[in-house]
Amino acid sequence: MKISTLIKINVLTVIILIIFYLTLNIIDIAKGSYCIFLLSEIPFICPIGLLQRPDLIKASTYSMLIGLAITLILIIVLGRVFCGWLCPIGILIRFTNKKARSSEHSSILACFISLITLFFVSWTLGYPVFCLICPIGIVSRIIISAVSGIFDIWGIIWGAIIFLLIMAMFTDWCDGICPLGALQTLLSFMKIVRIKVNDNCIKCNACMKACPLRLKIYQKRKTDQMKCIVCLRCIAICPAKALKLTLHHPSSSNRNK
Amino acid sequence: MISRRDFFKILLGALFTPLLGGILFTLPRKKVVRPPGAVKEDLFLKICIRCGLCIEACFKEGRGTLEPCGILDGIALIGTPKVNPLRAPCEALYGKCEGKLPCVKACPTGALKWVEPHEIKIGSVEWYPRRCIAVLRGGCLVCAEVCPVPGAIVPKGRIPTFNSNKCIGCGRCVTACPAHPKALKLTPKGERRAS
Repeated sequence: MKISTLIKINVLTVIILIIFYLTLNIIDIAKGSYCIFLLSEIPFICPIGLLQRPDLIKASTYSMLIGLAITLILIIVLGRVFCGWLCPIGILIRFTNKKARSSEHSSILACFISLITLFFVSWTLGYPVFCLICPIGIVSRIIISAVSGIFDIWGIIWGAIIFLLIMAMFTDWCDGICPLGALQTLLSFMKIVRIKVNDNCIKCNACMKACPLRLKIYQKRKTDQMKCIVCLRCIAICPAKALKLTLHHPSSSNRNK
Repeated sequence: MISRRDFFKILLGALFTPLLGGILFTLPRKKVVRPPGAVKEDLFLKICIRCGLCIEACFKEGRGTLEPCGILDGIALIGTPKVNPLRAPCEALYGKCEGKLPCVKACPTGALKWVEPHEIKIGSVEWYPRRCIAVLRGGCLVCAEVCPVPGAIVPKGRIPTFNSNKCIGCGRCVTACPAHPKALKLTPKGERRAS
């Protein structure tokens, strides 16, 4: 499979998800969008949105906790599949910014600092600070407004401002600055879907150049596996056919091989 | 090892979103009219997840008066619901939603709580006599005709008088006001919040 095909599929999955949200809301089977998705009374709340609100955690119901648990388990098992295939901002960033920063130090320190500061600021202020500038939330509200017959022009303007700010300041938004990505990176320490390298690898660096996050999968580092958004571009480009998508058994002893 | 330059780069990136959000929260914000059953403004901003489900429920089962706040209302309020009588009046009392409150039922977080019908008061109207057709030319008492609350708008002679204690802030008079610009404005003054 070519990289261009993968990008087309990625665009398609995002568009399908948005159409899915629109139709489900219109025909009233399920409600909500990215921020919260209500499936037969179980609310799947954005984990960052929930964790920023101490008052909401205090008042949370059992169904809310069930939804959160399912979301977290999905992230732990699948890793950052949301970032790679369903995030509307990720696909836009990958389109507009072809030259991502090459992260020599694929450190998860940034994710830790990002999340700890975010929770510290929002818990001390008492307000969910990230929700104001969350670009995914803006998309979510544009979808819900469209279902409610409102053309959310201020949402679109605010979204454009935030997106331009992100593009101007960071080439590595998805690489630990976005709190959602950071949380998913930290949670995917024992994910099952992994990309493995075999002995065919000729260390040509082609996978790193094709990777939107500039990860060096062939170095077999755990942090790279945690940051991987499973976009499969490295597998598509590898000239030696050395990379493979595999299901990693949690108990297997030879890790990262 | 991480070089110092990389470390500061990482630090800047990591501190960016929380600090920007924190600064934006301190910017001035307007007072908007919240849907019925909203908890106190401070708690409302803390709990509301800005998902827009109340807005959707209002459109589907109610009159469609709710809309998300924009940048002009203050960045801290972005995405939270507000009552816009220019769209439609809020019929939480004396109308389509009486005893149902679809917005409250749709709220997944408890930022909107169930309130008994007689306790609903989301705001009151402000009157600008200089724009009012009844004052300028006479003959218009549309606001008094559409008002569902006994005693809230009473015509005195040919001019309407407003009793903000009795007004529940439904906004029917604002929707109906034929003056341009509207002689009436819905404000959250005197609103009763759920506890």
